[in-house]
Amino acid sequence: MPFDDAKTYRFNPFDLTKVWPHGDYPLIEVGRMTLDRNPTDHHTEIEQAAFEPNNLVPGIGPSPDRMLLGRLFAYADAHRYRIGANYKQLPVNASTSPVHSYSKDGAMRYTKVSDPVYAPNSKGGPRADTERYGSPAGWHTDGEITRTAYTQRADDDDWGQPGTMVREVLDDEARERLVQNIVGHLLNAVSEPVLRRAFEYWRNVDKDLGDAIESGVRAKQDEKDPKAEQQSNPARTSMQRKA
Amino acid sequence: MTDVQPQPTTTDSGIPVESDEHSLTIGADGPIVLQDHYLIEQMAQFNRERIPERQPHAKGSGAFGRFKVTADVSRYTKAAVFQPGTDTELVARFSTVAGERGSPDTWRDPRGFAVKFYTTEGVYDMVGNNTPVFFVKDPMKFQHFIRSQKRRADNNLRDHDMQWDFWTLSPESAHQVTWLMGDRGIPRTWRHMNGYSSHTYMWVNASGERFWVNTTSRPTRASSSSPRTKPTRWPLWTPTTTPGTCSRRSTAATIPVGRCTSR
Repeated sequence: MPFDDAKTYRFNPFDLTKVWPHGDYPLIEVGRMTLDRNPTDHHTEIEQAAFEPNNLVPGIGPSPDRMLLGRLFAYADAHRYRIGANYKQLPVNASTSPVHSYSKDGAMRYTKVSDPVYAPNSKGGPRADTERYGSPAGWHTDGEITRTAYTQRADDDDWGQPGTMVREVLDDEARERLVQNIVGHLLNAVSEPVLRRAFEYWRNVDKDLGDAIESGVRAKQDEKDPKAEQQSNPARTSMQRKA
Repeated sequence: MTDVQPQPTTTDSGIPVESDEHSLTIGADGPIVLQDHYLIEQMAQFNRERIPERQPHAKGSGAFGRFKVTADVSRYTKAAVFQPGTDTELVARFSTVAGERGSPDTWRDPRGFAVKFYTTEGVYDMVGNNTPVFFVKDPMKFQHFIRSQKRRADNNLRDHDMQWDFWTLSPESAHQVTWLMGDRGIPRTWRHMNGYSSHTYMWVNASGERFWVNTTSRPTRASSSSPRTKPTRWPLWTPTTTPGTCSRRSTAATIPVGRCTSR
């Protein structure tokens, strides 16, 4: 999407609950990912792998998507807690290009720190290449500090895109599976006030879908799960659709 | 295997141990002595094997591979990893969201789709899902959302009433719940999923021009899901179907599994 389109696009293009229609912004091929090697130690190579959306390289930056901005903090914080302060030294997380940072010490650090341990310095320590890397990927912003939802645009409602998906993307069989999946899910010990809100929720997405879900739930609501007594699980006192 | 002469067992300090089976005691029928540091090392290390599981996305598996740029997107980004012909090593991890580390892979859930590229300009992570949208749009609601999908305080059970209570009071969830309740809610295997950045990111080219970008990764074989007819029984007898599948199928030398596109 060209930079300036975002200002006037018919819905907020940074809203994480929306997709950009391919008709407006077609896909452009970039490349091909191949996975051809399994880990030999799940713990060191996968459990301790620390993925974090804040790892953005020059040429790639964030957007005003609030969810993304929250994640830019939350992931690295989670890794410091669950793995430890020096998690980026583990082989699966370590950069293969040279690291010249000023981080030091902390539990389990094993790559050696060398002087000088501060910047700026006149001792030959790393110095930011501002001329080459000094422009952050950013945008102009201005406004009162506030706690509100995003500014609403013409097509920013919550029901439009799921409604389009149900009516225009799914075929009859996929739509029927959607109804059955939702009915089965709702039959699993969902209380009456919440059920009524769920029917309304789906009618807001699509009237026919909501009606089909309500009649599906009402038809089976009083059936007893034949296994309920054997399993003595309160979550199964009402019919749980199994297939 | 029995023909190979095994290496002598050592302690974690490399010291050859006296026995794999017997602790150090005062007489064959007497008490264990504190100087059995090898026994102590094993007990202490065992107690410390577990690390906290990820809060969401605890259950996952992954594989290593590479990303080869097959087109020219240099007019959109100067990122070294996406310049024409660049070939970059990577690790990918796929996961469920709400389940714990031992939970079934077959629960209805979005799937995490995370890729770590080891680029010449540092590590680049693409941390997305197999769906292009999400349940909430403000991080203030995320923690509450995840709790509503996990377990109750009183009985430690998952609870559909709690899930629907949150969803129906959060209308912005409707798009993602429609994806979740459809076929994509139970992908057949990790190999049959799309991967999305979900978020919009900014790309900047060498001239400083900026673009907004969503990325999509599609399997080279058609995306496939598990229609809700048989798979609901899987969790009863195969708690980890997808990692097993991943291991078996990626033993071949090179299997192209995804084409990555942006817009």
